[in-house]
Amino acid sequence: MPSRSNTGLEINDLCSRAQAGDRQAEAILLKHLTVSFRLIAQQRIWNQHDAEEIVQETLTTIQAKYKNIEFETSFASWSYRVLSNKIFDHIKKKGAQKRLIEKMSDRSDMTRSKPSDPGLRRRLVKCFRELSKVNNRHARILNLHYQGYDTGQICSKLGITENNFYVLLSRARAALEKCLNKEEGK
Amino acid sequence: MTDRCTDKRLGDMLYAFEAGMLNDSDRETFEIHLLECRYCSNRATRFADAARLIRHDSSIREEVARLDTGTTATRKKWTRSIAVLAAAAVVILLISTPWHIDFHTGDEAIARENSLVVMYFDNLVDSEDSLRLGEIAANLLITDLSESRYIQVVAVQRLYDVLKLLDRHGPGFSSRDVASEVARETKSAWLLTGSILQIDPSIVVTAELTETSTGASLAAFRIDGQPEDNLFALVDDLTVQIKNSLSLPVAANEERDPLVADMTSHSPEAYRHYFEGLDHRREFRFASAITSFERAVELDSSFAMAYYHLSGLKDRRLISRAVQFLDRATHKEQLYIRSREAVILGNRQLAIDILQEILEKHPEDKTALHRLAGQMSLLNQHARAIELWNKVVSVDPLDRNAHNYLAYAYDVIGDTERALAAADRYVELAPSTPNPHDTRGEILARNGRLKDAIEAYERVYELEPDFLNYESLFKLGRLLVYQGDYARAEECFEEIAAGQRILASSVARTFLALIPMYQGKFEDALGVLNEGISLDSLEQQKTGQIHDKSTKHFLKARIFVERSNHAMAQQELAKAVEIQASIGLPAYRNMYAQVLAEGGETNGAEEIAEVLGEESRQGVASSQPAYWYAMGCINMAKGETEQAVTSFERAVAASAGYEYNIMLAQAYVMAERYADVIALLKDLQTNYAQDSRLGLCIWTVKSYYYLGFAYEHIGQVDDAIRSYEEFLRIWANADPCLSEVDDARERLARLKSQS
Repeated sequence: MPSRSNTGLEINDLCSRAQAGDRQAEAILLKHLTVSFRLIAQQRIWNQHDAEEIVQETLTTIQAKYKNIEFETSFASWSYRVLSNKIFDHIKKKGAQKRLIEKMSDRSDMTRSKPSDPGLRRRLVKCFRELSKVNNRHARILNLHYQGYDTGQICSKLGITENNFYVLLSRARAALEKCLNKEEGK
Repeated sequence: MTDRCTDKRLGDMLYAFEAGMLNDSDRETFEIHLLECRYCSNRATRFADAARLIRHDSSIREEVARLDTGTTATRKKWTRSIAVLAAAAVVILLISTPWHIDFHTGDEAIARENSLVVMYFDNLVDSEDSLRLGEIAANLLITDLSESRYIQVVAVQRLYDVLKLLDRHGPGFSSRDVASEVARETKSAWLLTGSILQIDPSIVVTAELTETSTGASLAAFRIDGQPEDNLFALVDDLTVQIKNSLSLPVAANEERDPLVADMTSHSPEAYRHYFEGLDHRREFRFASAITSFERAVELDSSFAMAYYHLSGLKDRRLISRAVQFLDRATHKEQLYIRSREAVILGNRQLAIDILQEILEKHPEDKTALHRLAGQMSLLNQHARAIELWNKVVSVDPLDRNAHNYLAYAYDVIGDTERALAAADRYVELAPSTPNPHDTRGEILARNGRLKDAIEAYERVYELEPDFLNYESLFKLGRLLVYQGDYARAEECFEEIAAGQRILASSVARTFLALIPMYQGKFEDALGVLNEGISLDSLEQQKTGQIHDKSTKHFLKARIFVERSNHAMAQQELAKAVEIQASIGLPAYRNMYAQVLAEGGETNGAEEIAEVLGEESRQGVASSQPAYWYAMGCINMAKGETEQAVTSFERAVAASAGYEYNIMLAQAYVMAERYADVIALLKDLQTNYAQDSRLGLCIWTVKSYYYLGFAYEHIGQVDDAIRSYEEFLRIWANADPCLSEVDDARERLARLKSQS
């Protein structure tokens, strides 16, 4: 598989090497997939235990099957499909009502649970305040999002294009990350 | 580690992905990118905890809202005001009245002085106001202005209640006509009245702010909307101008002033359905209310308060949707949502704390008062519950539910006079609905007023024969049996038996057997029971449902005990226990232990008692009194009189059930504790509302015999005579050879000859 650039992970390239028997490539591939799948699953599945279970199931399926497949699209697309289908099956199986119940109980867990870094909330608040001194649209965008507006509506309210919207957020994120690192170092 | 993203356009979407802002299509594209780009994957991993907080944490959301607030309030105050000024002529009259504000008092004190009532707007375009824009405008203004800490706005519910109290609710009444009365009733310092002058091509409203104590006009407003503006936009403008004209403390200008659509819905159509839902709910049209709220959430899937009401009317799990969109509600509504969530999650204390918080700021909020009273009642804090419901009544004398709950609450604490007064008031408020009469009937029946209770239930029957699934008709039938009007009682139960509700029919067939059983006509009763069991079996074949068969077998067992046929009695009780076990609802096991003990099979009885005892130790609440009941019966069979008393006293302590009390009375008789017999049985006999009183009719009727026996032994001859006579009156046509009947006749004859 051709790699996209000489600086990317070249996941598809790793897959080719793993298919050819390169164990180290396979190990790196699975490690990367684990990290990425977790990020994706935790976005969509409220219950963290269920999310982790789905990630592990997906990895098991991929590991069992990928060596025998000649990918018509990329390995990345295929593995993403496997994960998506597992997430979809989970949602269907649990049923909407039960998810509501889980959400109710999980929400109480969520509000009670602390992040792995207990001071993170405090640092994040401080960084938000610092950021708002130079970027007042970041808080506005987030607040409109919390209130249920979609991206298009937010752009319309702010009078900006969608590209501007993402660039604005990207810069805000970079500033937040820098601020958080600085605060952590103190 | 790679030092840049493979696709900058996608890389810029990282934060939007982390915050959950991407639509489905972009999210999918980005997620594939995440697999392919180690740079983004690593960045996302490092930021994962922070992203989680940004997505879900409520304190982060609050902080973001606070940071956004400064720009929002300013924009709302100035941007829209400038737009309005530029668009049309605005006439503002300001008559400034100096406010002597004590800067040393707290904000709460200022708010109480600054109370405002907003009247429904008059719709001059449509005098019938068929779209109810006048009410909607007032609702929205109240919602918007209520967010201010510096104005105490009369709530929508209170306004509605006052208009009903003044009998000025509905079409045909101009708000201005009743405005001064409403202001007086609500003790408001200010009054806002308004009119809708135009709807198409754009909305135009006027409003006037009046000081109620002097009648002086403080300010007048005219808002000319743009063609694209809806009522929500005009309300936002008007609230800004109202607040500006009230000369509130400086801090009022700094407080957050969200758009009213942000606190309700951005969809006017959704809001209309929500508004109609509230109306239906107020008038107890619950099915229609559900339909309206469902329509509201179909149009606006983030309508928090619509979900909240649906969680109360339809499915409690919908509270999670209300919580999810908590920010789309006013501060007070958020507290309501949180309170209900707490109740659903089993955190009663949190729910109570939140309701008390609402009442601290809004002491006359009827809903909070009702809810808190309900919670207090569940915690058996009846005095406090009564206090709260009385507060509801003082706020809204026409609140029917408060009078209904007060009737029951007073009855629980033994204040019959006040219970009946509350029930009477309930009847006055809604004489043509069945529930008030049902409440009144129940209170009367519980306090020994049999004839009056029957009258009340006859009224329920006239208004709605199958009220509460025939529950009221069952009660009427029972009372008629106690009165001795067996023919009319039979009519009641026949009517239910002939009805379409299969379970009620089966139960009615049981009750038909209780009429002869109450009179001691056991042979007749057996015949009716057997017929009922046959019909139940036919039903079971058709529908698979067992219904009331087990009760019939239980009653047959008691008849066989009276005939000293213990083997048959045990057979019948075994069937009753088996039927209940087959439907997963164990019952009658203590009664089975009783017939085993009465038949001399104490070992079998003790085995059952052991099972019940084990269940009780494992925390099965209903097994505790059942265990002591079984032990009491075993003690009685063994002649262990004192132990029997102790066992039944423990059963009664665990449950106030009629069967435990009546058996305790029998144990007292055995133990010759005649004063206790009299006290207990007199209390039981006064209460005609006990459901099991007719179901355990053999013991109920024999209680007159036991009472006579007890009176006789302490020398109260007249009372003894009365009791024996009552017993013999009821069993005048009983089956022959009943030992208690023969004994009572002898005793009565002896007492009469001596007196």
